[in-house]
Amino acid sequence: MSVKPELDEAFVASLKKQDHPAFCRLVQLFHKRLVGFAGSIAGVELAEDVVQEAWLSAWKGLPGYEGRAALSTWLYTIVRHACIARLRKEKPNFHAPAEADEAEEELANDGLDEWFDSSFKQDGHRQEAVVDWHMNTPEALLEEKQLQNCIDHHIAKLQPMQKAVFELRDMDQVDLEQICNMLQLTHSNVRVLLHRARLRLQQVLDHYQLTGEC
Amino acid sequence: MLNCRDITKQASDYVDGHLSVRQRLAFAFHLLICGQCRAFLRQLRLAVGMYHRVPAKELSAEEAAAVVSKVLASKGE
Repeated sequence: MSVKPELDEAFVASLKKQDHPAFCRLVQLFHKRLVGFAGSIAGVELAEDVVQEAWLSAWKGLPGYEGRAALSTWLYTIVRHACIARLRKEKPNFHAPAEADEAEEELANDGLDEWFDSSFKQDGHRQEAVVDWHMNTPEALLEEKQLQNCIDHHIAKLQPMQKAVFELRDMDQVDLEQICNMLQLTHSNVRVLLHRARLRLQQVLDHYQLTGEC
Repeated sequence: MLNCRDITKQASDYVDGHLSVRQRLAFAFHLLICGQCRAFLRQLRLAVGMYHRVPAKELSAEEAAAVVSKVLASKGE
């Protein structure tokens, strides 16, 4: 669900004045998603702590926020910097990875190439028929609590950059351009990461529709 | 001519409108003759539609206030 409608000019103006209730609301809206994002970069064990540091930077920086980047992009960027600063502190030999390299590495290791090889014949046709889904509206899928827990479980297991891109694009509906800026990735990399995350989850949905189990 | 593997590899670009006119035409031609790929794309759209509707995970107001207190206390405000 997008939070954009709430981030109107009046709200941003309040934030720039370091209005306490407005800042609390901002934290309420973004904290969980920022912790998830930080977990993708710095690991889940550091995520909560790093985001708290990032909130402090945001608080200090709010009066100078000029609105050049969307507020969400600005926050995600602060968190990304906080993650890298923390990793440098925790691991003296750490050097900030080029996200594009990290993305390439993930694409090579996510196992989907093997899935493609086993799912299609030499001539490119499918080995097996597409699973017939009996839950066939978004609402029906959402109402199935066990399925939602299953999807959450498998989102958590996605490779870090795939998870970050998937959550930003498909769950928070952040623009592709903004995601490229936040993660320092090309359009092409973001699109491939997103697609591979979706394919992975599509397999989970297929299995659930077929067996009723996660 | 595209095959099912090509369709699967480019499905998100098709669903999200990132293909050129020429690529969309090639897609459309394959979909015309392949019910399996039509089903696959319908289900991909369905899943994406579902992800868009998943409620945003927010903190409660109390949890947010606690985070803010902790954050501001760390700088003595």
